[in-house]
Amino acid sequence: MNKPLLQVRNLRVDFGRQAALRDVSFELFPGETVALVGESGSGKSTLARAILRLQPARGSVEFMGLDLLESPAPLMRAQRRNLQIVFQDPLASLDPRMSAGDAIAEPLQIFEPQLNATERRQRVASMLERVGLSAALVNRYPHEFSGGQCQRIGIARATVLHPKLLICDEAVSSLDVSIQGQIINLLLDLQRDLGMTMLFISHNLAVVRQLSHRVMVMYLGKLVEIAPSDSLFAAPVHPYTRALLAAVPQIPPVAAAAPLSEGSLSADSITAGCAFRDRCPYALPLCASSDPPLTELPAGRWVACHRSHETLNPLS
Amino acid sequence: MVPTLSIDELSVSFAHRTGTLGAVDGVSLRIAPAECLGVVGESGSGKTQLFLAVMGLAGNARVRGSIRFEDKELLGATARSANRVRGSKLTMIFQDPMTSLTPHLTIGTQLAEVLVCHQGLSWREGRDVAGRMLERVRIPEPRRRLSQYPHELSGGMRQRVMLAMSLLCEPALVIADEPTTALDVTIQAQIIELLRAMRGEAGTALALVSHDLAVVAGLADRILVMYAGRIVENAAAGELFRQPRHPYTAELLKCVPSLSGPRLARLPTLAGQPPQPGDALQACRFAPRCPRAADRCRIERPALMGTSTSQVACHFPL
Repeated sequence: MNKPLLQVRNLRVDFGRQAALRDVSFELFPGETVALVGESGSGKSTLARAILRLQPARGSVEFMGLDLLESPAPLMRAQRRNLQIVFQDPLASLDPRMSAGDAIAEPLQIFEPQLNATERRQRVASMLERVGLSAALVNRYPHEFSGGQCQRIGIARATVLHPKLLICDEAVSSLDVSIQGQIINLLLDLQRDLGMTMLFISHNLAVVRQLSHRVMVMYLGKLVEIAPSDSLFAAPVHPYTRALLAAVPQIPPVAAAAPLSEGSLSADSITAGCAFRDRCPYALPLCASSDPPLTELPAGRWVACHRSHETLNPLS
Repeated sequence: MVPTLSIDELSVSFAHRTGTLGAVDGVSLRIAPAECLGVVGESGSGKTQLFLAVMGLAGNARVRGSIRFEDKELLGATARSANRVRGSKLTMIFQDPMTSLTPHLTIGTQLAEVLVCHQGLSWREGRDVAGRMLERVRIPEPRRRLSQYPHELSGGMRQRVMLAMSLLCEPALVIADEPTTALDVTIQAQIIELLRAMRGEAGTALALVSHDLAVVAGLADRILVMYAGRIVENAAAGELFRQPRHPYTAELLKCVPSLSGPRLARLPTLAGQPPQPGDALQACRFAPRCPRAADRCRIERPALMGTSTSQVACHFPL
């Protein structure tokens, strides 16, 4: 197997007494798209921020042979050209006083100062075209673009340096369904052409299914299941993954399973045991006392559940 | 049978320095007692403005046409008479339950106020009814919630409070505008279940407004599809999904990613952008994005035609 591009080990983030990430470990391999799913508050964005060192964390994040959490600031800064992120809110993530051209030129000014103005203009123009915008729009400001167009600018800005890893944090969640597909296809094209690895954070499981090779499911700061996309959607193992999939509304409507109750455990109240046990239809007495570790199953699958080796009845 | 809500030739427009911008353009619809009408459309299609106008919340927009609630005209009625039904028999819940609730008043006060204002109950009686209503929307420990503030509740719980508030005066129609969009998928499933139960128990009519076809699919009897301020298709829910007739509906359905079926190398997309308000009014407004568009579509705007249960606004329907 390939050497991983990114290796996260025992990553932990605390907000006061509250654990936002609890011992998160995983690997990303070159060229793959891995989705990170979970409910709001599960720690998805915190994980992205911790990887990018926008958020203090403990543990280790090894990227291209460098421990990002330990490396001195100048080394980390140099590495940032390889680590880029696209945010959820396309308008808020652009500076309203910077034209589309300036926003895309800025990373080039910082990381490729040897370019002269003409070369830089050419790179910006070709990047605009690359993301499906006319190069004639280079002097327009964010408020003159639609949400989908702003997201294209955000993607151009994030990929103009040809990063090795692109994190998309709910990058299509605020877009209309007709625009969402355009943006996802653009990301897939760029990934193929630039050979990027993508960490795709989303709460939309149907979108995730279409584009990811592997899926990681997070619950209250902990990864509870990692699996190849096809097998995860065909046969989810962790009860939380099952409940998430069962809750997705579909066309035509399918007879709904009993919806998952709202949990009473929060990240600061977990002292022992599995954090999902109060919502879990399969919980055992054991689950209250011992937190199941993320354990390897056959076929590249990892699950954190005491009952992962059993065949559980479907949710009724 | 008198429809619960009848809207005729409703237009909502805004004054702008470049002229008048139309958000809703000649919409007519009926909602029967106990019916669940789904209204779907993308952002900017006018679906929210339409129902804000029904609630008298369209701000400084110009609203023309007719809005009758149980055969009583609301448009042009005095605020005093319109507000007798708005907020009691005709209620609305919104996408963001946090900004819909007042942060500095307890849940109990906010709920009881509705009953004090609309039904002349005392505050004590109001709180009692409020507590029972919280129980009906399945909020755990309802009595304790009455003295809590909105920030102490989760998003799903806050949306339940909004729903409880909308149900206090036994409304004939609840308008729910993107009620689950801000919620996690598991909480969304709970709220959908609750809306379904509410219809079954009380026979309340529901207008469910959403950009999410799948959410609407699970609840609606009938669905209206809006595009650029107009209704382009009106059909029974099952029929719409089985056999969409407007090309926009068909394209939109193709764009919805699915949990089943084959995985695709590329997602289906709808080319182009929705029109801006004020773009060519003479033509079919979907024509620039439509795979079936012909010359006629670029000169003549198609009217919504058909029977009351199946209508489409297209020169060349599928």
